[in-house]
Amino acid sequence: MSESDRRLDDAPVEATETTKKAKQPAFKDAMAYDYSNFYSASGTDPFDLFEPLNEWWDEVRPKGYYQYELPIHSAPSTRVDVEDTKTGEIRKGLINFASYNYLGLSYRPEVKEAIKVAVDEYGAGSSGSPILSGTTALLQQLARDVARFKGKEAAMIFPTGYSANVGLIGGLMRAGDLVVADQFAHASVVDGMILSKAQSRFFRHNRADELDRKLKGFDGKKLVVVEGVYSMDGDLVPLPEILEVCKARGARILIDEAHSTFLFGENGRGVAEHFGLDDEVDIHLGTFSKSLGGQGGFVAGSQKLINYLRGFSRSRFFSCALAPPVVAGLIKALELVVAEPELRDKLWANVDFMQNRLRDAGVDIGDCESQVVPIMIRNDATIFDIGEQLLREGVFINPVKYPAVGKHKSRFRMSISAAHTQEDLEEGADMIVRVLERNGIVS
Amino acid sequence: MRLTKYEFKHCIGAMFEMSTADARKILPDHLHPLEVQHTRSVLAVLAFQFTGSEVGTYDEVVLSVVTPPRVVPGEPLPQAAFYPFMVATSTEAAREHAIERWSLPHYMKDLEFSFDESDGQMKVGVFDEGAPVLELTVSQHSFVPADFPYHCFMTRDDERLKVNIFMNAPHSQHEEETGELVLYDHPMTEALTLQEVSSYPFREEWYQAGIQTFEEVENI
Repeated sequence: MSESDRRLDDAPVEATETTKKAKQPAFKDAMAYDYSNFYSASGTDPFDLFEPLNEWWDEVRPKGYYQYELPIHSAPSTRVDVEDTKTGEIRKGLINFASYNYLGLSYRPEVKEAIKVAVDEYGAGSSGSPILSGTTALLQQLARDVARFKGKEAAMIFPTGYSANVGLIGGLMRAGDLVVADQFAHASVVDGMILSKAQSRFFRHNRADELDRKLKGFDGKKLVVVEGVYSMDGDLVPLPEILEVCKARGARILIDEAHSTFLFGENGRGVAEHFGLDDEVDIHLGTFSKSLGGQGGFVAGSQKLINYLRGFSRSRFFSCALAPPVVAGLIKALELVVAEPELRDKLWANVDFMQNRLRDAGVDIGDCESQVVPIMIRNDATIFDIGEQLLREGVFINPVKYPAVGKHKSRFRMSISAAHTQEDLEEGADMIVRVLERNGIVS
Repeated sequence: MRLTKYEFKHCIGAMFEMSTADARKILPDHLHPLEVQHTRSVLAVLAFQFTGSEVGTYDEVVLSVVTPPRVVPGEPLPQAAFYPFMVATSTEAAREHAIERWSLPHYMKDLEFSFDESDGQMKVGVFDEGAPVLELTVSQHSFVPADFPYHCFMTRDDERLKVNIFMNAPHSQHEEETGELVLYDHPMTEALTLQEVSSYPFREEWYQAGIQTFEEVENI
């Protein structure tokens, strides 16, 4: 009987005991640890944590962590060939619910052709910072096209969405200012806040009353950061209530529409347009790596804002400009978004189908309101095993657990695409429900 | 190596955001606070119902700042590390024992404790001659067997001390933010800027019916 099975009315444990101090393994149960346990340690050598982390990794990788960074051997289309690094096998034609290719644009023939033309004209890269020699005519065209699409005076292009947040927040805010972000804000927002040296606060997710409490009493410059769609829960920001608080407290607002630009709203401008508040939001940010299927990020707003950021967004001018072939692909992809609004209609039809299908089967998909569908497991000990079963069943979908989400808020993060066929969705849903039933997640 | 064991019925704990500025003031110079968010550190509040020990049965509350652990080859990696800056117990014997054996800073009066369990929640009340000191509410997730190591840092005059602690019991933890902390103005909480301490935990933990084992104190 283990000590933990002892009843309280058994004979008491000896209060003291003498034993020899022997060398002990770093982990009795490696799976009870996670990356957060290796974040920092006191000591004198920055390399102190390497050995325990590598020891931990060697043990946990085959037990489930191998499911991260699985190499894909085909385009991130609706069906994808994935290398199972545990068995060495290439699993072909898995139904892909992992990629953020929400409109299926990354492999459209028109986009690929535009990229090839740009490769022939410009070669591989831009070979310079955008502030010096890296700004191509293509890059300027993309910035104009994005500004026009978003209905703003101007836009600035960044090499990644991450660098857009870092460059914007770090470029705009200063020590002594206040930045208040939703608690589920992306790491790029957090890093931008740190680099800005402004005071940083976080309000409880989507709680306008909590935002008000965090802003109250602060007299200096204030910036509030929210996201259009939150990338782990798939829910929307309650923008009208949030904006009301910002106006009452004299705060500027930035909306990061990484997972919502090109998808939401009558014209696909994003969640701000969806709520009819496009012109009320001060700064619009988005990425090109999801709905447009490419790479990069942007900030859109007034010309004066963009002029200011040109001088202070370090992540932009201290990086090489976005490569011309990528830019050419984005220009074409954006043209398709404008020319084919039916892509969004198809996406939302697919989203409705899948959400209803899963809910009807008793699957917990949380408060999802978007193409990002969390399939809640809520058990950190079992999610990897279920993930392995899904992979072998024929579904490519990523397990997400602590520290990416809270402890025992583990889930599979499903991304629906306009490119998914009805067959993909039905077959995929059947596979998922079958595995969840087998594991007692649904009955 | 002498091991000291404490048998408990419940160990209820939760982690709350606190101001990093307060955490730095509390910690000795050689320790640094863990930051869960930029400028936000972690206050750990633990409450114990001890049912067996060298000094009999007693209740205890511990307020700690969470710090990075000390990685030592040949030793288990801890689940967490902390610096207790205020401990209070329900008996004088327990208080004297913890000061002498573990150099833990104490509030020098016996406090009253209440542990009310219902509907998967435990509400702990700590009182000083009837006046509330703090109220902690933690809810449970599923319990799984655990045998987890922790690092506890202390000081004694100029000495820097550490002790390894092991918790062996069924363990529940979650981050549903369903718990609550109410702190009152009291000498136990005077090191904290109370309005900077979050009223809800970002993590709730619960150990049931187990053993807490201390190794020997070591100088670091």
